[in-house]
Amino acid sequence: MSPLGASDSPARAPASPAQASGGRFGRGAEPPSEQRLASAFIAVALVALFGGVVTGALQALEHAGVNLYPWVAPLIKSYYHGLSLHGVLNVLVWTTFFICGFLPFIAARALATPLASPKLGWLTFWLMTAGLVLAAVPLVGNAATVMFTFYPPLRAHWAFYVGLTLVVAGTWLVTLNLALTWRAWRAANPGTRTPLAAFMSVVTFAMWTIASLGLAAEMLFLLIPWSLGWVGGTDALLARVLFWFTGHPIVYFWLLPAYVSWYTLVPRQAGGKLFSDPLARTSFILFLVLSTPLGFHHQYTDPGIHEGWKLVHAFLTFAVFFPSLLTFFNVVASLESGARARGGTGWVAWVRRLPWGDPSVAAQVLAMFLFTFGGVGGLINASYNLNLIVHNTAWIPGHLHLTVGTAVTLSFMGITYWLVPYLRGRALWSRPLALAQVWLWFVGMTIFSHAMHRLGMLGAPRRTMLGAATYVQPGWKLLMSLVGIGGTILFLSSLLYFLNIVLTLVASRGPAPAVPEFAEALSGPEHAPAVLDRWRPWIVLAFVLIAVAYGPTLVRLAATTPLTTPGLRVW
Amino acid sequence: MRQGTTVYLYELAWILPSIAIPVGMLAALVVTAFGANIHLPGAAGRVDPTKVTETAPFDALGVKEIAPGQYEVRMLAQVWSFTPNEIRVPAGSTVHFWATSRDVVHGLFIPKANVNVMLLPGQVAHVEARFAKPGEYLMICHEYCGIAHHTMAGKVIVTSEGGSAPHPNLPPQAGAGKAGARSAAISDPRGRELAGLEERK
Repeated sequence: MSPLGASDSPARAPASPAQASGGRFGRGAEPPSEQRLASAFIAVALVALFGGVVTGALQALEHAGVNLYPWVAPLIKSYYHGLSLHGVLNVLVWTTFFICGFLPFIAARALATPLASPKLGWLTFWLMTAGLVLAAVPLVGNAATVMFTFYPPLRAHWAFYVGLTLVVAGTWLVTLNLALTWRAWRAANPGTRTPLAAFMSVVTFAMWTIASLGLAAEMLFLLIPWSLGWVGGTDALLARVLFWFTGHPIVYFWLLPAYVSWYTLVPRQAGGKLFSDPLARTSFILFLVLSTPLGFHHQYTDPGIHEGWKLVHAFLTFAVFFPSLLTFFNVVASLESGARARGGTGWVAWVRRLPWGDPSVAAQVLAMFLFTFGGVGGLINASYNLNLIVHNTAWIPGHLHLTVGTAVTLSFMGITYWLVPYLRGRALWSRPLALAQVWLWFVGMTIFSHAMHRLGMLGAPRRTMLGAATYVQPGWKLLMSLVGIGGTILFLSSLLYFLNIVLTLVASRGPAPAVPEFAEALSGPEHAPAVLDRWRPWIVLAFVLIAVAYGPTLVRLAATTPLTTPGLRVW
Repeated sequence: MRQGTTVYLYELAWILPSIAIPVGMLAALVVTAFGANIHLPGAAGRVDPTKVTETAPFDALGVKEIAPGQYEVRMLAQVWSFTPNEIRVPAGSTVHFWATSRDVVHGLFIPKANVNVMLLPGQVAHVEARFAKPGEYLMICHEYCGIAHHTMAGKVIVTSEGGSAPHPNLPPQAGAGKAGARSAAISDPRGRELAGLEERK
C-alpha cells in the first residue's frame, strides 16, 4: 500500500498563493487568521469552563453536607441557580465555543487551504459572543434558572432564549465557512479523497446543522414569542419533542470533535498509525445519518407519545451504537499499533508502552477508557424498559459526566495541552503538573460518577438539592459523601489545569511545540469506497430517516396542540 | 495492498460482531419488555392545563377502589406537592395512576414500584403498578420544578391488613382496554389519542 497517509496526500500541495512561500501554516510566518480565530473561540470556551467547574464544586459539596451557598449568595442565589450556570456554561458554552475554534483550525490544516472567509469567521465569533453575553445577563442575574434544558412552562427572560438562538445561528455560519472551504479545496483538487480530519470536521458540522433545526424551531416558534409576551401560552410536550430532536445529536456534536483528535492525531502522538481510514469514514457517515432520528429515547416516560414510536427510536438508538463500536475498535487498534511500535507486547500489556508521559495522550487515553463505561451506561438508558429504573435519577448526570464531562472535556483538555502552547507560541508551563491534573480528573471522575450511578439506582432524583431534601434514604448518605469527595478532586484537577494554562500564557519561556502531524493510516483513504466522499446521498438519507421517525408525531402534535400553557417563574 | 488486505480481514472480524451485539441486545430488550408486559407511558389524551381542576378525571382527586384489588388514583402535581400526597392501598393491589400537572413540568417517580413518568401540563399521564409487599413506598418529583423541588415528595402506604389479592376471575377492565389500545397505537398512532380524548371527556 502507499505509505502516504491522509496528511501526506496530494492535498498537501500549496493551494493558494498565500501559502506558496511557507508551504503550510507554521509559526514564524505571520500568524494566519485561523490561529487568531481559534484562539478567540478557545479563550471564551475556557472562561466558560472555569465558571462551570466552580459552580459544579458547590453542588458536589452540597450533596456531602457542606452547604456553601450562603457564602456565595451575592453571586449565586440558590443551588438551582448554580446548577443552571453549571449546565449552560459546561455543556452549551465550553463545548460549542471550543468546537467552533478547533474544527475549522484542524480542517484548514488538513486541507492546507485557508478558511474560505476569515471575515465570515470573525462575524461568526462576534455573533456567537454577542449571543452568549445576551443569554448570560439573565442567566447570571437568576432570571433564567431553568437548567440547560429550559423546559417550558418554566419561563426565563427572553434574552436567554434569543441569546442562545444567536449562538446556534453562529454555528450554522461555521458550517457555511467549512463548506465553502471544502468546495474551494475540491475545485483545486478534483478526484482526491478529502483528508480525513477535514472530512470529519465537515461531517460533524453538517450533522449538527441538521440536528439543530429542532432547537431552532422550538426557540423561534415557541419560546421566543412566548417569553416576549407575543403569544399567551406554550406547550410542554411539543417543546420537549423539539428540544430532544436536537438534544441527543448535540451529544455527538460534542463527541465527534474528540473523535477527530482520537482518529487523526492521537495515533501519531502515540507513535503509531491509524488502523483504518475507510472504517473511520464509514463511522462518521453513519453518525451523520443516524444521530438525529432517535430523540424519543430521552422521552420514554413522557405521556403523549405513542409506545410504538418510542420503540422505533429505541431501535435507531441501538443502530447508532454500531458506528460507536467501529470507533472503539479502530481507535484502540491504532493505539495498539503505537504501543507495539514502542516495544509493547502481549494482549493487554502493550497499554503500558503508550507514551503516558505526554499529558495530551494520557488525557485522551484516560478519556477513552472512562467513555467505555459511559457507552455501556448509555445503552442502559436507551433500553426502553430498563430506562424506567434510571430515567431522571442521579444515574443520568453520572452518565453525562463520563461522556461530555470526561470523553469530551478531558479530551479537549488534552488537546489544549498542545493547542494553547502552539497558539501562544510558548511551551506548556509544566508537563508534570498537566499529568497530575489528568490523573486527578480520572480518579475524581471515577469516584464521582460511580457514586452518582449508584445513587440513581437507589432512587435519588437528578437536579435536586439532595443535601436539603426531605426524603434522603439511609443508603444514600455514604454515596452523597463520595459525590462530594469526587467533586472536590475534580475541582482540584480543574484548578491545576487553569493554573497551567494561565502560566503558559504569561510565564512560560520555552519554545512552542509543533502541531501534532496527522496520523498515517495502515489502510488508507484509497481503500475507501468513493461514495463515502459524496455528501448529497447521505444528507438526503438523514432527512428521510428523520421524516420517518419524527414526521408522524411532529405533524400530529403541531396540528392538534393548542398553545395554552402559561409561563411561570417559580425559583 | 497486502497490508490493506490484512486490515480488511480485521475490519470484517470486528464489523460482524458489532452488528450482532446491538441486534442481540435489541432482541433481549423486546423479549423482556413485551414478555414481562412492561409498558411505557403512551398517549392518554390531552387536558386543558388552565381548566384542569374542572375537567374529568381531575375534578375528583384521590384514591378509589374500582374492582377488587384494583385502585384508581387521580392525581394532580403542582409546586411543590402531589394531590393526593399520601396513598393508602392494601398489599397486592394494582394501582392505576391518572395524573397531570397544573403548572410546570413535574415527575412521578416511585423507585420501588418501577413507576417513572413525566407529568406535563396539558398531557394526561397513565401508568399502572402493582404493590406486592406492605410498606412505605417513596413517591418523588424527579424533574426540576423550582426553588423547593427537593421538598416535593409523598408516599404510597401499602398495608398488610385486609389486603385483598387481585381477583383471578376479574381481569382488570382498564388493563384489557389498554392492551387493545396499545395495538391500535402501533397500527394507527392518531386513533388512540383521539379515542383517549373522547374517553376523558
